[in-house]
Amino acid sequence: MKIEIERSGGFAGFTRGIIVESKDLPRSLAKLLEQSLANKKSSVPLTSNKNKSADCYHFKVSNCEGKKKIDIEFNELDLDKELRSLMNNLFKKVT
Amino acid sequence: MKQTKIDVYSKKNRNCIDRHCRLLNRTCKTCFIIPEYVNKKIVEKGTKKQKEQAWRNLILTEQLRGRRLVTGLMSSMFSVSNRLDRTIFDAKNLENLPGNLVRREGEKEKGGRTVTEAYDYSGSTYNFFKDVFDRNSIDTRGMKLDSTVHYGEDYNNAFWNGTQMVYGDGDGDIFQRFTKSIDVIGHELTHGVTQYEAALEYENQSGALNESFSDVFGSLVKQYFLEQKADKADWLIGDGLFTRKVKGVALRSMKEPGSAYNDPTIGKDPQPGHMKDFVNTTSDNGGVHINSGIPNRAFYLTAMDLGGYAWDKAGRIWYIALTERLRERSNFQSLANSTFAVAGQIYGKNEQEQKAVVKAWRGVGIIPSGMK
Repeated sequence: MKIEIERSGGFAGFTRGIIVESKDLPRSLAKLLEQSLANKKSSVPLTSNKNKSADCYHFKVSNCEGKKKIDIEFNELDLDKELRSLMNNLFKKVT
Repeated sequence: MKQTKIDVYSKKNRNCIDRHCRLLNRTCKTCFIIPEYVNKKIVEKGTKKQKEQAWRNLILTEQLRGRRLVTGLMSSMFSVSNRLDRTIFDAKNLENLPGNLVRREGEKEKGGRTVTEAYDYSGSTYNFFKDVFDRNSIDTRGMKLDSTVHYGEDYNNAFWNGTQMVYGDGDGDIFQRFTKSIDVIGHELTHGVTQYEAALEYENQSGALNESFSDVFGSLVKQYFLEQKADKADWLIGDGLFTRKVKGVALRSMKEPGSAYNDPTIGKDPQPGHMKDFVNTTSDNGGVHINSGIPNRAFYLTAMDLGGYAWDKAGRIWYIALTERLRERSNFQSLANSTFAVAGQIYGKNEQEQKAVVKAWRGVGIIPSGMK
């Protein structure tokens, strides 16, 4: 499944996007993202308080296939540390 | 006026009241059955739990009446620390918070330069707010300043998570360590101040104001540390963060938004400096780091027009706007109106301070409402 992931925010406020095949992602991350898009809502529990944290990364995940565009959004602090690290690793080569 | 009996001690009603409180500009026609003098008595004489609940009630009623005076008054009735209290943790390049304790308040320098920078610059930020505005830490009650360094691996970021500051080391390719610049630390700590004051929602214009206040006071912390007057300041945010490979002087320029960097790898600084260039976007929570350039420049223009040390008049006007005027969904117009009103109240109507504020906001395409 082709997925577009946009990371924005952070102290610098950069916005960067990548397109990946979910089969090329670490399994736990692929499962989370595919599940979210299939359910048309984030499977990431939005536990962090967006209005208390600041300068965190914001992620928007979208499907690249299918008739209707689906966007799932969450903050990096909503993710557990393993998934957060995996998501941030995806962007290491994209400055 | 309708009287509604409310059990303010029940959890359900506290949550309901908190939501209701967010509509601060609406007239509240609900009276609480427990009078203010009773809550004040409980604050003085009650158990710790009773004091905390009574204090919350007082804050709530003050907010409903559009007043914030009680926060400062009541804080003196609790045990409040009046001293700087810093703790630095090391995440060891993992993403666990807070990480391993490295340095406590008062301990001698150790743990390396990143730990030292986080320690020293958070102290400088505390001292700035204390000396200039008589503010005792983030929450006015001596809240501990916790910082975690070496967060993540090659992590090109720093953030405030609602309770502490967090700093990455940078990848060494584009970014250096984020503790290197004092204004970054001042910026993050100010997010905490905003959280406890106007609590500006972190999206769209209110979020851009949230970001702008952090840039404003981050810059003032740097200027205070360096004893610079407005005309000698660089008005840059995050200078020193980029490596030499990057064509840029800083992440943001308050003086000239959009000019801080232009690099083939990271692109061009996208900040506007005028409302005609406002960026409508869904990224970055509605462009909070982008459109902050507009109120940033308004502050810069005000400070330069007034001259002297920027924290003295411009900083005071902005601080009072943040702590006494703005609300969660305030927008740029709200800040323009507030700073206009505050300048008139403190320094007199139509005096040079108020004129400077008006001229500055006009310079970014906003007319304060008192002028219309």
